[in-house]
Amino acid sequence: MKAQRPADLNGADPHERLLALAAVIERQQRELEILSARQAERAIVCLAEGVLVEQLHCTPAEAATHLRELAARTGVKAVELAADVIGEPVGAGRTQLTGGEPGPPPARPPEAPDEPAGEQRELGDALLAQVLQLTEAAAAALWQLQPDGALEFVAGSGLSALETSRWRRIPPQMDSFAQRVAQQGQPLWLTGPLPVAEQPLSPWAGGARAVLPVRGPAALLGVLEVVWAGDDHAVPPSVRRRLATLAEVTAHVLASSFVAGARTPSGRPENTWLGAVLDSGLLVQPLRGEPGEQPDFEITHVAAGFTDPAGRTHRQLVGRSLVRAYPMLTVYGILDRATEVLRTGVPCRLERIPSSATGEAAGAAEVTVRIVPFLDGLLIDWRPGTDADRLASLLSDIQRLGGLGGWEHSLVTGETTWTDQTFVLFGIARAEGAVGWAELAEHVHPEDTPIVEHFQSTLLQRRPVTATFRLIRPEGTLRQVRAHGEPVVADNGTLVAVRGIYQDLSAQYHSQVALAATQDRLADTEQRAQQQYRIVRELQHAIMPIAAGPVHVAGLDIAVRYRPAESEHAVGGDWYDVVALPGDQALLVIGDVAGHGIDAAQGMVALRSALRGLASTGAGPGQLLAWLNATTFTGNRTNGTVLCGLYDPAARQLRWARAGHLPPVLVRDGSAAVLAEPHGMMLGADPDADFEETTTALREGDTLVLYTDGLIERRGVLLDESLDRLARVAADGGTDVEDFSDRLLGHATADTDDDTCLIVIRVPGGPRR
Amino acid sequence: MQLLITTERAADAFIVRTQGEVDLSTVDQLDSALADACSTAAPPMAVVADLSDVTFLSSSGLSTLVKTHQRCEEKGVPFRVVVAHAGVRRGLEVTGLDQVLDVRHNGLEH
Repeated sequence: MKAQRPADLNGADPHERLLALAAVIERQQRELEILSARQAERAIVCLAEGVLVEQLHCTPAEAATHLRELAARTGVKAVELAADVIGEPVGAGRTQLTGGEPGPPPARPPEAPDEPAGEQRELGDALLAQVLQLTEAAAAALWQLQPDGALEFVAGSGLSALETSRWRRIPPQMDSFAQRVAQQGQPLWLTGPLPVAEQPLSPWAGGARAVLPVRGPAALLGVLEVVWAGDDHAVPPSVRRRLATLAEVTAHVLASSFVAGARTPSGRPENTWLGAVLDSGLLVQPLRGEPGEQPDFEITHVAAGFTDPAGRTHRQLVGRSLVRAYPMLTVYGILDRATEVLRTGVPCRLERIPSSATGEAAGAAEVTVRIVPFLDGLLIDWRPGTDADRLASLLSDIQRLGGLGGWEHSLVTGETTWTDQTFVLFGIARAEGAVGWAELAEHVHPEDTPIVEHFQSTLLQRRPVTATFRLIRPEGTLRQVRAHGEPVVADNGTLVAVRGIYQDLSAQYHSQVALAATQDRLADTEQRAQQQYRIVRELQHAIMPIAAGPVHVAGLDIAVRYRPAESEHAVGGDWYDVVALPGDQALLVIGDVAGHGIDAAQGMVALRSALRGLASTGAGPGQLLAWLNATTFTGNRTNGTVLCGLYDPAARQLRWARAGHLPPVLVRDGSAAVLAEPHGMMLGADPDADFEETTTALREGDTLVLYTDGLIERRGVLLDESLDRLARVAADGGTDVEDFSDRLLGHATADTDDDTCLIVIRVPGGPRR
Repeated sequence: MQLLITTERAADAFIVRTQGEVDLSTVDQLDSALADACSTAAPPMAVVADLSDVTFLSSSGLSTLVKTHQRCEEKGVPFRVVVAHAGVRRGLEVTGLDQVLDVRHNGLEH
């Protein structure tokens, strides 16, 4: 079998494929303005030949031929392909021209300047992401006012890399909403379509937008702009009030010393620890583009084990759009499939893709591209196709084209089971259940009933059989079906079941719905479930690492223990966070998200990042929990308990609030007590809940224990008794936080299958015991 | 652990009676039963979770009550919870659910 060519893919129209490629090239053309002159065109082709010589280790003549052939095959002008070739960043150790001199700059916008990593900027982005969620807006940007009157971009969310780049710096002489607000100091609330002359942020020109001044104690610090998608979207008054409050607190973000610069989705905090989890592939997240444009994705993380066939470094790939990084792959439909995977959550494979589409110059001739949903983005990876793979995919091609559905009828239980394809074939929803053995004849054309009866009786006589009949679907249409069946006999000779396949012989069958995928899924389900749990476990370890020794934050000694649930499958939702905030304060959090498995893990990750972002506003724990609670009604529909505290080392005070979580235990001078429970219910129960704050003064030598119910819960023992017991064990804890935590875990009498998390915090000093 | 759930239809409510311990291994059963009751009920019928004979209610059980509350709110169906066991009552108190759910106390003291 020959390798797939763009023109043959799934029988797609060659014209469509060309259009797809043309769209790819159009993007590249934005960077080609300076290269439009005829002379420049000739120079480009020469340059491209030079780059090819270097990459493919061929002669200039071979390079020229290669370029011409590519142009002929795809019907695109050689000069455009050449620009594509040059647009790829040159790998380390390669020169741009065969002459060895530095050539003209590559035809693409300069990369963002390298910025030092900063938790504060990550917090700013995370905060704006929460602003979006809490106001149900589409995009937001925060600028800081500079001494010269310009507005420098500080943080953003929901913006494409292009938007972020364009709005990086707004000079004072440029008329824009942001500048108007900065100069006049009055908020702007806009709805409806804007006049063409206005150049607003983001593609939603018709959506409502709010441009708000952000004030510090003495002066205006910056501007916050929030945009809603959808024309004529009316912003409800409650959201306006909420946004106004949020705008005021973003002042805290600006007041800290921020390094101005663009932050793209690739800077998101979660992505920095994914390196521990992924061993190969690219993590991409969808980009919102111009309406009518093809959807695109941004490469937000490149796994450590991934090698780009064109030799680009990971740094060169992160932040690029998928289309620009792998333009040839888009011709093979990767964008459409990726969008579909994102929408349905069902992974897919693109098989028999020529490896040259990935930029591979040598090596395996074909690859299989896998697209797998991962959190809120996708993981894209490709593996070379081996002979075994090729055979398997040949088989699956046949099955897919053949339109096969599986069936089995158990003579022991009397139940009939079907694969998804069979439901599709019969036109019946899975929820309605498979058609029983005895009722099969009712779904068949009356003239063919004897055929079905013969088919069934032959099977019951333990003989394999094939029959062809016409199926009547609920809406009345007919399908020509060939049924295969075979008996299933137990060791003792009893006939236990009959099973087989239905093959749709109708011409109308769409090969898109593939039994192969279904069967793959069935076979892989167990393996995938294992893999998912492994990933979630790794995720937990990655985001909540258990440090080798105590952590020191804000002058406190802190030890953390996380003990996952006993059962392999009960991946729990316990979580913690310890964050050093601007101003030397520490954020201390412990929580317990309901449920288990992937959903709990996702919910937990979302809550944790939300809280980090919101904490950067400097708001108190009661307000933080109120915002966090609001997020469980708008996007992240999790529920659970949280305890959140802000520790001020100067005053030695812990200001804390709880959302339904068990209160901390305070150990002082050899005795321990459970602190009183301030008012505050668990998240997700009441959107208007409020959370009472308490301040606990801490002294040198004090130890505070935060924990989840997995530490103490015991059937038959009332909660308050368990808490008292915890206090007694804690009272003898000692001065070393690590030993203290181990002691608590060791004495835990919990008998549940829940997971356990505990944080032991000590103010150093005080009398030694 | 065992959990026994029965659902009966009274004149003004669907009553989901539960007996036993609600923990990670049994909570899904309770969740399904309550979800079914919610989807079948229409105002002014109520959904009642009778947990009088529940001796242990884990955090996952509490979370199920929250989800049921949300589902019922969306439909405008009243949701009531009946409890008796002191441990279960304390659980509702710590999580503050006794402030947002309609909790009735069945006179028996355990």
